[in-house]
Amino acid sequence: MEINDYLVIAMFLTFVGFLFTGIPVAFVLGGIGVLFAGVGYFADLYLDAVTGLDFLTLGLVVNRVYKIMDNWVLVALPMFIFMGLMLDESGVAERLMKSMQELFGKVRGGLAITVTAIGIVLAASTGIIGASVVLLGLLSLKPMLDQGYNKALALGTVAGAGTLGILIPPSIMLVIMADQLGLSVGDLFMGAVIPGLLLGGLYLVYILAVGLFKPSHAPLDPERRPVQWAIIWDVFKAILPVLGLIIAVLGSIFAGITTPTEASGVGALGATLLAAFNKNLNFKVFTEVLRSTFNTTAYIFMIFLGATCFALVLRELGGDELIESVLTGLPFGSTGIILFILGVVFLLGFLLDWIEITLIILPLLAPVVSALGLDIPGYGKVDNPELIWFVMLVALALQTSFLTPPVGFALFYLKGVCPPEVKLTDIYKGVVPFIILQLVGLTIVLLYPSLVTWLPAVAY
Amino acid sequence: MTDDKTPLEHPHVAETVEHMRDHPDPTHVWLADKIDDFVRAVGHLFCWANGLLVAVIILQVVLRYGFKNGLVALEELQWHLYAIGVMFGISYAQVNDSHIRVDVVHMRLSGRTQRIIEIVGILFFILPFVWVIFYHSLDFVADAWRTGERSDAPLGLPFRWAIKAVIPVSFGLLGLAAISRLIRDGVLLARGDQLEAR
Repeated sequence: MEINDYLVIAMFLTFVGFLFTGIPVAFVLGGIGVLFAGVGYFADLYLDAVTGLDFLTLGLVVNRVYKIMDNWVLVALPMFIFMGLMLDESGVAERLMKSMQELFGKVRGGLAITVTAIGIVLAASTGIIGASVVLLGLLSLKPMLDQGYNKALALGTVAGAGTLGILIPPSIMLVIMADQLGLSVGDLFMGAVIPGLLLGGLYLVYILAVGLFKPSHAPLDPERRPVQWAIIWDVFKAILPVLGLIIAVLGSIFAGITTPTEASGVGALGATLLAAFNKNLNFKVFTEVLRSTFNTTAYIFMIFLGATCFALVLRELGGDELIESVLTGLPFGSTGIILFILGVVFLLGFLLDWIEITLIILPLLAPVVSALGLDIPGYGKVDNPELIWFVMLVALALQTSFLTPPVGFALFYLKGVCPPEVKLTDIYKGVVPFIILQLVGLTIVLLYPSLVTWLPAVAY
Repeated sequence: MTDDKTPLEHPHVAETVEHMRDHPDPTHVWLADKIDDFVRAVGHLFCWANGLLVAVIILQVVLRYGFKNGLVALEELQWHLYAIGVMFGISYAQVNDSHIRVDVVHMRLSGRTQRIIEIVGILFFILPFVWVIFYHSLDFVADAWRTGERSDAPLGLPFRWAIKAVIPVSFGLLGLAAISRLIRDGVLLARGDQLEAR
């Protein structure tokens, strides 16, 4: 190993070490970048390393910062965040909850199904896992527990449905991944549709099965009314505006009518109008959503800025080649390498948010995956099918790790909105089946890549 | 289920999430409070960039699809507004303490240790990083100013130096916000009071 390789390894270890101090991740990244530019400079002078790093080279970070600002794709990000936060405040979820509860009142597990369905429909509101878990938890935990649901089932459903949003489009995670890997946002959104619905479907089947085999876990509402057309009409009225909005946003991207940026702006306006229509919009709510959007976008972007400094120095030190040669040197074969990478992503997901993983790890891994020469059907119409498939696998692995105790992100937010009698062990028990379902979904997508690439291929 | 049985309260999601993630310091240090107030006020002004961005995108969509006549300037205005929203947000997120931390270990530490870590983090990570970007971006802006850099498109926006100047200004604010935190933690550590308040 050369001296540069040691520097790369030292840089990673220092990063991991300081991560645990609780200093904000973005600043650890940026600071370590600066620090190792210094280390590289002295290694050049005294250790005969060839890094070419000095204070002037470090100035290139500014160009990279400007590249992040001058970026058409990422303009969609604050808009989708605004849309999601506004939808959360718009009262759409409450209306859906109320009306769907009645519709599914006759089915065992109806409430849990309602929660999952809302999770799928409102997946738009996320990528910000915290927001969706909090929303679903506040809305549905109390009704489910009041109705005598098994605690574990209720909690697992909320956590599972809440994390669906990072996969189901329009997901801000997919926008960032598209930007980082040079993929089309539309392709990624379309690729995520079937895996997302597949997962949602698995959740629903599981809940129905629990209702069937363990009726006591999902009791029926004693005051349920027979399903009448009026109830179906209510559900229809509640779901139509929000479904219409999401279909309009996604549809116009898929059909190639608008760019994702334009669609995101229209979505932001649409969510605001929905809130106004439901009489939940006033000046206070609007400024609150603006400030929250501002804040959320900023902490995501601070990681962009820190990571770009880290990545610049890492590249100068030769880190990119080192990682590539280590991974391709693994004695596993191409599927083995993919599994290995997914395992690492899963483990990292315990500690890091998807933002860091997408910004630091994915760009390093993408060339490796591309070079594996995987035979993923692109039907001659999809560019980089192997990367699109790989991104979906990473997304699924991340979702799974957010659900996995002891430190899953979804669990942390869920604990925050639970009634006090719910113990952490209840949550752990509740998520286990959903983790298994996630792994089933992941395996299916791993075995059948065309589930991902088929839709983008036929759409054009 | 009837409506009166479980009245669904409106969930204030944004508020709740922020309440859970952010830990604004409950303690008061005069100078640090003043600086934080200033940074927050700037943030409350610039957060409207995203509201404007919605309006500009809608206007562009209407012009492009309604009148078959989009404007290059509007298109460029979009990323200008986005960049302003993003860059000025980072100092706002700093005073709200919203930047993402790995807090598995951190949350188990004593208030005193947390403050020491914070000081170390600001001195050895945040400030050097902010300084590198601030210092180098001055040249970057000056170059754009000297050459009169403008958009490549004939109908695009002029004055590239103005949007580039967002970098030193916003990082200056971030530095200010970090220094405010440094003062707060330093003073409280020296006073030795309210160390467990967090």
